[in-house]
Amino acid sequence: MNNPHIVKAFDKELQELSGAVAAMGSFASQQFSNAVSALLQHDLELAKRVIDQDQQLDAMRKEVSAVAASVISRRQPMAADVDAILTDFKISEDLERVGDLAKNTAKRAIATADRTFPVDVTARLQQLGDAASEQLRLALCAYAQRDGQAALAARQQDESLDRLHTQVFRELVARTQGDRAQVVGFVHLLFCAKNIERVGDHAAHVAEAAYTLATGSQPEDERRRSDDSSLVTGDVTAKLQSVGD
Amino acid sequence: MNQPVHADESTTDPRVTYVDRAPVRVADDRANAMTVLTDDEGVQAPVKVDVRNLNFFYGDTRALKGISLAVAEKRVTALIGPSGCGKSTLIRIFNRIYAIYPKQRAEGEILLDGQNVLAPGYSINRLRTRVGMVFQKPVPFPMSIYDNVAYAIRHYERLSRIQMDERVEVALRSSALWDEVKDKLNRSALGLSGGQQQRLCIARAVALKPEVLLLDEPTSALDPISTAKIEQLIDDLKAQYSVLIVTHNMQQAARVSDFTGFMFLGELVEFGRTKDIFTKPVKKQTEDYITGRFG
Repeated sequence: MNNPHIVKAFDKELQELSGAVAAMGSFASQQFSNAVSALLQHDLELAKRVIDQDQQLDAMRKEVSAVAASVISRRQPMAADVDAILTDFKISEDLERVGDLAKNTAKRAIATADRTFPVDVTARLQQLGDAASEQLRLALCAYAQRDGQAALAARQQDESLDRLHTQVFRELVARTQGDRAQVVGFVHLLFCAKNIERVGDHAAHVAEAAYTLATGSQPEDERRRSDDSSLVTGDVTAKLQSVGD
Repeated sequence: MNQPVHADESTTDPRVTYVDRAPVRVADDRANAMTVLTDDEGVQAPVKVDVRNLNFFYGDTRALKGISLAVAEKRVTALIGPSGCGKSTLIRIFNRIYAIYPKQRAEGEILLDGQNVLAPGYSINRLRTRVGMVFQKPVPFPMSIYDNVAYAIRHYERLSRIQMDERVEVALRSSALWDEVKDKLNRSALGLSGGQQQRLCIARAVALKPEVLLLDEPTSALDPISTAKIEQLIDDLKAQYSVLIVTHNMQQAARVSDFTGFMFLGELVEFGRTKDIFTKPVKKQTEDYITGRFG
């Protein structure tokens, strides 16, 4: 734990910055969770609210930038203080992107509101969404508590999320081949699944930043990318079969 | 984590106290008492001044405790630290100003190109021509701008009028003052602004063509614009001189220097490349000081 600054206002401003990022994280998490719920429960009102509220997240991001710029120009921070400010700034960018992905998912919720999806499909997407939400929550907790080990654990979760996304991707592609009438709906779900997987990537970024903030160094290993959806070919039915075997 | 190793934890060499973030120190030629430092750009610079186990006493008070420090040639080295830490004391030993005061003495070595300038046999006159100094408060002599620069030259050299004119112009150009004073060289230096007076003092120092330039808080009495001009000047001067600057202003040290040493209570706590000291200091004392925390 660092000693307090001689100028108390400096500590207060850094805390204000961290607080703004934490509030942004809480709001971005809620937006994302609401977007997934709106999609899977065909909740038009909730989807519209997510879309409308995205500008609040953008405003919060601008506020973080303004506070960071103010601290840099007024306090001329050095060493770990610079790292902390840059980390806050970086995390706010990731959280804004989480908001953008939530908004996009909400738009697709509106586009697919009159469609009915198979229960197993919605359950899979719910599972994917829950995993991403949990990963984001853990990353934000690690950030708030300056806990390097918790940050690494949150970052690690991205691997299983990637694998789950690849599986969901294959299943959805297989569905598009089996049910031509639902192709448009499944394509929307494919994009939503990708949005969720991207939220996991941003959560991993937040976790890495939290790790750096807690330890003063970068994670030693490169983050493993396990999302193989880009390698999926059209012959997914056979592949699913082989996986099942 | 690639934690930098502090040299005095990895070597028994008592004079190596700076942080050995490889490849800061890449060679050590003991025969010539020279160490090579590598700057932020990865360029190697030979050591111009090698301070070895330096102690300094004001009467019975030990103000400096076993300082070992390398000043790279044609680079800027900054000394930072709180008031009373010994940084001004250290810089004033480099040209033996202390010798004029009773009961002050230095022990240890300051090797300038391998020769110990503290040795009794080392000529003070020779030292003062090789090591120039500029003080915190600009003190122009009560004479013309021209004579301020020419005064010191006359003390050491006999030059013709044409040669002297040329030397004065070169010195004033080197200190970025020529354009502002070329039409009033015979006016009193006391009429110059504070920033101009300080640059005149720098011109006076460089007029003797020193190899090392010591700057003791050179901008502490100046406004931001004058400070910026001096900082640009320091950057220009390092093409010709090895510069050692003492400053209370950490941002200034970060802006102008290639290497930085942090001093505390008469000791050199940490030394390294400026980029490293101000981003990833190894010692907690250094971190607390540069970030403005209670230590």
